Amino acid sequence: MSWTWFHRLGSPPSFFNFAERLAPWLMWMALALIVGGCYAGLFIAPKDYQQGDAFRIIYVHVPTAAISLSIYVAMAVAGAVALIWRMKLAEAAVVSAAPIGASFAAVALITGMLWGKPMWGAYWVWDARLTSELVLLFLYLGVIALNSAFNDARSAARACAWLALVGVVNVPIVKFSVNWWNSLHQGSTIMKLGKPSIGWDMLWPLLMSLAGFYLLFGAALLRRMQNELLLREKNTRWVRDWLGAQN
Amino acid sequence: MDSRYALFIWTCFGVAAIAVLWNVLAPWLARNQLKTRLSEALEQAVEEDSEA
Repeated sequence: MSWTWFHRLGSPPSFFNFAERLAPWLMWMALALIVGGCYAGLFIAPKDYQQGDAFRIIYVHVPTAAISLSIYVAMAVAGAVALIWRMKLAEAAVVSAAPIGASFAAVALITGMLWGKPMWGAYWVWDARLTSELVLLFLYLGVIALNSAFNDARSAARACAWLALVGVVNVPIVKFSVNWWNSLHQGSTIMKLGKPSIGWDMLWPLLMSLAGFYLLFGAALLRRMQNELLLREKNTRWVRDWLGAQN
Repeated sequence: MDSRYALFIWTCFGVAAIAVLWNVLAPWLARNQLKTRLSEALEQAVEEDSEA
């Protein structure tokens, strides 16, 4: 099997052109899946026998919480690649993924609080799951702050890569906090060994919404990485050619 | 929908919609700003070269 296509993607202009073609498709598919999943979650899925309609919050809470963890793992992998092989694209990926991850972590926390008030009687409790997710949000904000603290983009990306690598230790803590400690937060429903403990008529809108949020992350990451590459490579010929073609 | 939970549910979906829109629009707006900035810098460099 030839891997030349993969190596070619490591070059900024090739990646830029590839992202230019792929990002709009991902974006439209993401929006269709998110709107479809949320509509089905709000109006088609049956009420939960214990929580009633309040359970419908899961159609935005679960996907944003899951993806906030996945993005941090992706940042740590990209960070390792950036530190070991000094690959520009990996550096761009680390700094570009952080604002997306922060937005989803914030949504997961806010929607969780809004579910907590009617269900637990409080917006916030210092529970292991909630606290570790808050730490995750702070780690994302730390990466964003670190990136803007340096004048040199490559030094900034390397510092961000280190923070991504060190901070990834928090991801299993968030994921398994409900198993390791007594927690108010319920355990895993889908991502666990064995059959999901949720009926299919409630599950399919959730899977749709989940797929939509992952595709949205892909599209937003490609777009942000493109911007990062334009900025970093502004004095190169391919950026000048691209600008010329745009005007 | 149960009126006791309606406000919480709609607020959740509203917050998520804001985040989705921000993730769609922010990179697009940043691209347009960047394009304008880089084009202006390029034009300026071309002018300086022709003057020299």
